[in-house]
Amino acid sequence: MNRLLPSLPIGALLLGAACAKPPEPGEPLAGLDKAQRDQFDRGKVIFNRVFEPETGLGPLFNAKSCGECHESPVAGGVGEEVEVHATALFPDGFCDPLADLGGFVYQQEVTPALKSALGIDKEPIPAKATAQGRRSSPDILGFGLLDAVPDSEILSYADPDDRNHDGISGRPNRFFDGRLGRFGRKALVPTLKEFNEGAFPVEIGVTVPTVPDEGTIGGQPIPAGVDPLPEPELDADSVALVNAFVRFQAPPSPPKLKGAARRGPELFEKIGCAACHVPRLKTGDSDVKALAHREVAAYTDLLLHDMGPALADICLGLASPSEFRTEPLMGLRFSEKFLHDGRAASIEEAIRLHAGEAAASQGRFAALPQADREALLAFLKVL
Amino acid sequence: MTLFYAVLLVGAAASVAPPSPPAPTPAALAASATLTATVRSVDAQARTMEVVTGVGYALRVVKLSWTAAPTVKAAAAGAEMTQIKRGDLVRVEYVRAPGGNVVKTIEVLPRPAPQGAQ
Repeated sequence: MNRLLPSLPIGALLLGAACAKPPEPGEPLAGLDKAQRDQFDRGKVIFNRVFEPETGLGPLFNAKSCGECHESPVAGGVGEEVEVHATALFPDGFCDPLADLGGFVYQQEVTPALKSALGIDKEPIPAKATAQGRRSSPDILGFGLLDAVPDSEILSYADPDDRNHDGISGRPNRFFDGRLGRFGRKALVPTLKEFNEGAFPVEIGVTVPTVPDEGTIGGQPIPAGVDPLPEPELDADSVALVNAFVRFQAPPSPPKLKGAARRGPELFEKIGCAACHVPRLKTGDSDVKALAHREVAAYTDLLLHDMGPALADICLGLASPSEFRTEPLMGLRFSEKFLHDGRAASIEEAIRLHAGEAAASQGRFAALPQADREALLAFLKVL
Repeated sequence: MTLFYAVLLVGAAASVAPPSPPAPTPAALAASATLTATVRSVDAQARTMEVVTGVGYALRVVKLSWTAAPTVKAAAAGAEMTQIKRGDLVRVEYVRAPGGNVVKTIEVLPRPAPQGAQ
């Protein structure tokens, strides 16, 4: 007994750690230090800050705050907003993001001052665009972990020439400077920091130190007096705090599988979903201990896959119109509409709309006995 | 195309023998910049090009030009501006001058291999 006594506190600690309740949606990652927790809390305030023209909003925008589009069930969750993208694909295969004409995100709202000056209700899409795409607002919970996945991990799943003959040929997208992309529905953006910093001017019309200009109105300069605030409209410290908030968001807690859903993971593998929706990715080194060398149940390979002509819309970077990044399924439980543009009203409909490289898996899903289909759907609904 | 090859800006300007460029002033040196971006358009005759760069979804087109003064960076023999095409990944060293961005050197970079192991 005496020999056991010293070990009791350690045993209790280990038991406590093993039984530690995973963070709820909207809570920070476990294991952050006090300073990081403080950044998370302060960043959340700015994430939910509602901008007005007097504080930097516009003149073009899609939302007045980050939290307007990423709100359900918590800040960082999904939103109902759908935005519009447009690009031009040339016969030689070059994809022009139309950056000189306001592209590739075309804002759907304008400030009163811009409406008075130009009489427009949204940014005009140039005639040069060859395609438009609609994009729903995904949840971004756990995206700090996706950010910490090494390029080598993502590239290890790439098989652009389908050398293993499984019909799946994932390939990476690249940003305009050649770096590997991973964020966005076409996997264009290399890092979460850049995604967030670009979102301020693009989505809210708020300039930041790394993007200190408002861009154009469909290629035309902003009329004088419409945007009088000096640039940047948000300082570097505030941007850093928002980055911390997004980066430190915990991923959705592991699903609690009950009943038929327990058979879901096996069926998911069996019919080939896991070939693209890779269940787990591993993070690499990170300056944040809570992000380093973790497994994240992301259900994505962060690569581009051909999804067939029915889903095709814009090109972007190296992504062809029909190529989309494998959507992370973590957080699927929060979505009410599915696929990149929210066209599917249910998970089952979304699966049925999978084509191209996913056609074989979709076919196997359709061929499953009803009970197995229901088991798989029950599993997906709790991810 | 597995190795870098530099482009000789002399190509488009070969018909005119330019004078030696003046030594850069401290102000010009201070305004030097480098960017890596994708070529959107190039007009070798007009000696202008546009590249796409940006931060996240906030993309911008950067306009560049070059003068008759050749700037040469050692590499593939005979490479010149006329060989640059839209879609190329380039690293550009340029000077922010009052009249616009003036290219000093440009390299066409190889597209990274699709798989990391290669």
